[in-house]
Amino acid sequence: MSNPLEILLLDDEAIVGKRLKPAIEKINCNVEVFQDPQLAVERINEKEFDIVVTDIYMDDMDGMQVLDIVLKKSSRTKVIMITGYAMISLARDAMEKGAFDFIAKPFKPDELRVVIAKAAKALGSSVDLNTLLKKQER
Amino acid sequence: MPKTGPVISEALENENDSRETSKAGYEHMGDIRKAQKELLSRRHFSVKNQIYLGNSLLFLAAMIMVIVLIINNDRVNNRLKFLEFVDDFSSEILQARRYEKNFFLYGTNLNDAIENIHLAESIFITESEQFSELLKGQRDRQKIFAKIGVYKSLLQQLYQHEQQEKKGLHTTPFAKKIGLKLRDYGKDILATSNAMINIEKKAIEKTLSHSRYIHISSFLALLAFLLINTSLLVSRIYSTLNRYATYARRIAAGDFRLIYPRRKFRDEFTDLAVAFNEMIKEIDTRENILIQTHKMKAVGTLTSGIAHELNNPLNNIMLTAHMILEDYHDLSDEERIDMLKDVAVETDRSKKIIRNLLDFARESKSTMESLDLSKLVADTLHLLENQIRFSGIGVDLQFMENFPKINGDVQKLQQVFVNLLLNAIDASTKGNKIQVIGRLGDTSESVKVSVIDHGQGIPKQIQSSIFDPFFTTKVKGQGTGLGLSVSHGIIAKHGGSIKVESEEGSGSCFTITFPIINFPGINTFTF
Amino acid sequence: MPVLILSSENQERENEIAQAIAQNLEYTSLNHEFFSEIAHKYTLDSKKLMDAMNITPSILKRMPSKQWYYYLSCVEAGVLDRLLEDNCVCWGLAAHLYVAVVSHVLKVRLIGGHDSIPRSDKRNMTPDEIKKIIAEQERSRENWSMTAYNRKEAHPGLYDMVINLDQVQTDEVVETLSTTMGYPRLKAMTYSINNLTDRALAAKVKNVLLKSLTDVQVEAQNGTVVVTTTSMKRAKSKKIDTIKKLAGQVDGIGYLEVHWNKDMLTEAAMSYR
Repeated sequence: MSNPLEILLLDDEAIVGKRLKPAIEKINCNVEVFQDPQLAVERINEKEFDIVVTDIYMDDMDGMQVLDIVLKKSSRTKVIMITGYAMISLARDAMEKGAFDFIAKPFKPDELRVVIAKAAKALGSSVDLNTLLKKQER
Repeated sequence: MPKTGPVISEALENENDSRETSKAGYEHMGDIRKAQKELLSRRHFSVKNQIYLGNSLLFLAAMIMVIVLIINNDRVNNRLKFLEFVDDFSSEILQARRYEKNFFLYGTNLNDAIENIHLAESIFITESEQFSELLKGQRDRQKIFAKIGVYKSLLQQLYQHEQQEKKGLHTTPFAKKIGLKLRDYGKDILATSNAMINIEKKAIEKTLSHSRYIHISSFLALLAFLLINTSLLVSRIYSTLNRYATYARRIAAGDFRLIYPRRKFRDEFTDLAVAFNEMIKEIDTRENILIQTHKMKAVGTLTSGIAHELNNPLNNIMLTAHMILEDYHDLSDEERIDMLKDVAVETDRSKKIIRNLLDFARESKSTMESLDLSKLVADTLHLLENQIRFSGIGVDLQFMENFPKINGDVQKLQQVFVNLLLNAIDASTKGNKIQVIGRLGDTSESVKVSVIDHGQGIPKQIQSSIFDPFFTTKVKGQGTGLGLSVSHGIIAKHGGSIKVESEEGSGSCFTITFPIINFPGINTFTF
Repeated sequence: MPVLILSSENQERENEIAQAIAQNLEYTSLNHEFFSEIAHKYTLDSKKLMDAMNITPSILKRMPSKQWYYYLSCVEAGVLDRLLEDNCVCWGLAAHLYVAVVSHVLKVRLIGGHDSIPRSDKRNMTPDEIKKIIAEQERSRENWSMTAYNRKEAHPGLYDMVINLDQVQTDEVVETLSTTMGYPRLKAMTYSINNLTDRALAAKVKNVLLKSLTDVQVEAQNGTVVVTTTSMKRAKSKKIDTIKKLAGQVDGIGYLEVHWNKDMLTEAAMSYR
């Protein structure tokens, strides 16, 4: 099995991080959760993440700015945008800026896991969703 | 489930009724009926009647003057005739005296003298009857009559002697004695008649001057009467028209207070007042529909924001629920309770988000109450949170401490601020700031709230028309052109005013002024 | 994975452009040839299906409105199903009217280039007559799009891009659109794929319902399907039950909700009988 993926999750809604951290850790990823975009950006500058999952509308900083910062730091990092304020123009702008994917809230944990698996594949790594699915079936 | 709907609405209605006394700007049907009744319950005195009455009085006065003048004229005429009679009389007497002289000088003409004195006497008898009144004022008629009688009897005595003694009588002492008597009486009668003529002439002069005085004074009186009548009529029509011009201007400015009776009587203008009240009612109804229509438009704008805002709590609920499902058996009781608590809290949050919008959208009867503008503006900003967030604009709220309360309709005023803030957001670009400043007005009886944006500004040439209905600079289908017009109407009803200052390219500042608590809404138009 | 949907006033040049782009980008084509497939899939009369795409319902043309709506829903469901496969150029199927805003779908309107009147006819016509015919065609298209989807086909707000064929050459259009399709902003993403999946699901449900019912609107979001319908009050529970039963057969529905409105018109008409 390959090295676990390094993931940063940024959302100013505390519950999002609280629920998604265990959900993503199940598919063999290391997750760091942030609520404050400033702190998240500081961390991004310190460490290269494989995947960054970020909310778009936050009080101090825009998710789009985070996207720019991440890609400037490391162009191979896959950035997944999650937002409750999904609009076609916003989605297209995010893709144009280089986001890997764009997910509208509300979403199920599985949707994000599928996207992470896709991102892992694009990174040349792999995430095994099957074991998880099997576990759920049980 | 018990039926709570109707009960609640009933309760609301009752609340409105109890507030009716304090409400001001927005009139209720009851007020209109009351105003109309009061207007019509007074005694009727129409302008038409006033004109008729004035003209009748004028005619009456003119008639009296004419009668007085005719009477006066008659009097002069009478005196002239009397003068003529006295003249005739005195000339007969004179003639008689001349013959009398002839008799004493030549012994002739005694017959003629008697004839003339007879004539004079008959003139006096026939005419003096007619002028008895005039004569009474001067000499006793009987006295003159007696003198003429004596004179005549003396002449008759002479005549009898002449018949007896034939010639030379005029030289006899007897005749001379009678002659002396005759001379005295003749002189006396003549003097009397002359005196009569003189007195009468003076009297005529007096009557004529009196007649001139009547002419002038009646003319002046007529003039005065006309002036008074006209000024009464003019002041009644003119002042009322002026007042109506004021009403019309106030109504045009959005002040929909009713017209109540001011005078003790009613007339044609009362009908106008009644029609004005009807009109006010109609305009008011229409404006309320317009306000509601525009509000629904604003609600539409806000709904998209709310729908998005809801996604956050929904996402939290969805993630939590799915994780509970996934890990149910692996979770401790504590963890499960914690997660379910999250679900409960987030559901509550969703409810609050929707409640805010529903409160704003609800069509309610207008109620005036004492309210805190700083709280109202803060609530409005909360309602607009999503729009503000979308546009990336900062909002700076500065309200003076202990901001004075004003009287107003919370819902309608909230609509005004929603309009102004949505406009400000539209005008601004990302990164701009909108300022909302509340402070005391220029007078201590008013407060001012300014909504300032640093957006594109409003060109000078259209600044005067932005409050007009259906005026819009937005693309067709984007704006109704009603926002500012509706806001203007609402503010006018609160006895306030709205002004705009704008510099093209550097932003706009809308300033609303409200009177503190007691505003003139309670006093209504009077008529 | 993006999708290009074309709509035009000129079938010939649209065809030409669409084929060229599909070839350029190695995308699949989805055009009027697809009608036969739809007719086969839903067992419809293919000639009637073509008619339905051009005329508004009328008894005279032997196209009752119930049938017409059903035929259209078959096209809609069929096309949306295929569009989920991505990388596709779609034209001539009125997709621009029922594919709502989806970020990886580029909708382009081609205007001008009025050659749709056969050239042989054109020679005998004055410019005014040609104008009149074009106006007539436009009116009938607008009428069709309004009746079918309550949208004005010619409204530019419906499209991402409007290109005037009188001003831009065919090869230029092909090049421009091919380049545009490569923009990252048109890449498919979870959000847009979900949007399109929801649309397809709604279309499928609507198709199933319209087979036997009338007057239904269907919306879907995240697999939740909301059916809005009207009927008379006494038919309410029966209609709702039927809808639930029929829609239940469709795969992919997460949760089904039926919103019912009173049919005021029929109700009023009935009460005066």
